[in-house]
Amino acid sequence: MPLLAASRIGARHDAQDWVFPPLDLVVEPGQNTLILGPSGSGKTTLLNLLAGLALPAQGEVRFRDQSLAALDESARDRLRGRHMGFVLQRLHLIASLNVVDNILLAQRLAGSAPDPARARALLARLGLGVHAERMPAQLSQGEAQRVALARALVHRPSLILADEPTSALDDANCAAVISLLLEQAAAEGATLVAATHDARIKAHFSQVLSLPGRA
Amino acid sequence: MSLLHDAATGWLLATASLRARLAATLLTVALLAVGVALIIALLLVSRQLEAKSERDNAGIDLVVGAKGSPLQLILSSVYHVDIPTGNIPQADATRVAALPMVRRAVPLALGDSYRRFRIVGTDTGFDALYGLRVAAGTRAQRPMEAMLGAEVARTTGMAPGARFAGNHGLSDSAAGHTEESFIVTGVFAPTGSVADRLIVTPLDSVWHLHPSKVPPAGREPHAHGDANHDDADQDAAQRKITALLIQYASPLAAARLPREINAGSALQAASPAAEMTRLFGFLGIGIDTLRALAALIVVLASLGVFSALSAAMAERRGDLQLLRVLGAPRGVVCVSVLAQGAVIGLAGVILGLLSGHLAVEALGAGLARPQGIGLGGWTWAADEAWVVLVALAMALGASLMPAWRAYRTNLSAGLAEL
Repeated sequence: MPLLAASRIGARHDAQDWVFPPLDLVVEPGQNTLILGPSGSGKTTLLNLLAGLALPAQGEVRFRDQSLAALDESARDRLRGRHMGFVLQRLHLIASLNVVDNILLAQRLAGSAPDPARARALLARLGLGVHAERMPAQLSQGEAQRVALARALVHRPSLILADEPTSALDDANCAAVISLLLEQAAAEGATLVAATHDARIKAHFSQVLSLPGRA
Repeated sequence: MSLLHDAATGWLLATASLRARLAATLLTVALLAVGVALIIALLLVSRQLEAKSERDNAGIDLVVGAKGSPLQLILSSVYHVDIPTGNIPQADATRVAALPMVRRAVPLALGDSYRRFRIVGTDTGFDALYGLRVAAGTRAQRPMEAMLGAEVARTTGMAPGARFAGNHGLSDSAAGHTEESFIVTGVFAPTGSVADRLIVTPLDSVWHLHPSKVPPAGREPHAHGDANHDDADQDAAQRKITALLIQYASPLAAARLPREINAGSALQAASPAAEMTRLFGFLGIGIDTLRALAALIVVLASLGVFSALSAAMAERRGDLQLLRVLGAPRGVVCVSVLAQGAVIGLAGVILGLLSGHLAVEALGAGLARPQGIGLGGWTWAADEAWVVLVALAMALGASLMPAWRAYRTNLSAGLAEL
């Protein structure tokens, strides 16, 4: 059973204008997938549809054979909270919560009991053990991104969705971050689906879906 | 996931948000607390003054005294806080007391004091009026014997057997009756009424000290030479008293007796109930103004809650969006904002309640107790529950709009804004 299956899904700006033409995508467990395309090609919109944050104008997204369109909004929220982790482009953390509480938030939203020991172990694995009690404002951008990765992993999701995880990084950091993402996802038994315009990371993925730029 | 789990997550986010904006949170709490404290203090003071007024009134239906201000007559003869309007012939008072419309008539002769406690010449009817009971010693019967109210005994330290000389008039600075002294024969048990602050003596004591007549009371200092103090053998017809406290024999007397007395003699009849209603009417304007001010502060505090939460919402828009993306249902996001309003409201109300009660207690201890008002902060007025409920409802109401906006946090932009 595929982890994620999108069949003939499309998103529209309006009645005439497609964000991207209808497409198919199947992601098997462990099949790390890159959605590659220039700005405006609809990468983030496609991630929204795969995460159930929005419903496609046509076609269907199934997560572990469950149609997302068949669930109401609240059930989609729960499914996202339980089974998906997110690494985002800009806003990584809740400013009013410290590092550990930011990580534990994912467990709370997944409906499981907060496990501070696991959160701290993940932080240690990512080289952030001493930052557990710090507030997000006290972290560098790179540290915040690694905390976000810990939050994406802590509740043991089967799917991690990453939006532009490396776009602002130099080559050395880009390689380090994508390796870290893939390593940690593999260690936790999760599959990574990343959307980016950054072709430098193409080689790290077993499946690449290219979106054409808008004419 | 259970509702409880959602509520716990909403609570965590709410408290974290409040902590992150601690100064603004504390300011809003303080503003709400000031409004609540003011209303509570006003409630407690007005309720206690009304209750005290009722206790001091002791079921007196009518006071008969010299012509003048009726309010002054009531304040001086019932509440013992003002100077009397003058004196009236005892013979006139006796005539009134004998009328069939009168169930009980208690004469008062006022004018002297000891250490600011008023000396009241009266008969044992006074004891029945205020429910006075002898707690120590024996009831004063003869001239120059005196009974102490409980507060007088406590403050002066005097006990049965002690002697003291009264002062002319009602202040310590007035000249004293040093040639004659009272002997304390007993102490009354506390009643919680004005009687606790009085020194009670038989009428004869006053006539003994002021032989030809009781001088125009309160017009101090008054003078009387030794020639006037050679006591005894007073012509009863010339004797004067300050006032007569009356209880009606029947409700019908209320319609007739005051009119008859006011129209047909040199006496004045005044109703304590009517005069106190008039007085509280005057005071009420001030109290209502303060209440309106306090209510305005509570409204402003609620606007403060609204403004603080709206600003926090604007600041946290990205956070709320992130929460939704991470799988937080709308309810969790909504609860996280509502809980902030509830925390601010609850903290403000608790702080306001405590401050209001403390303020009244401090007022009672520092200012009112020496004046005999007897205010206390550790008592509850029934209306306080309403103040608490309304203030909480306003704080919660002020957080409804921001909470609704949080509830409506749109996911259509999804990851695009994050």
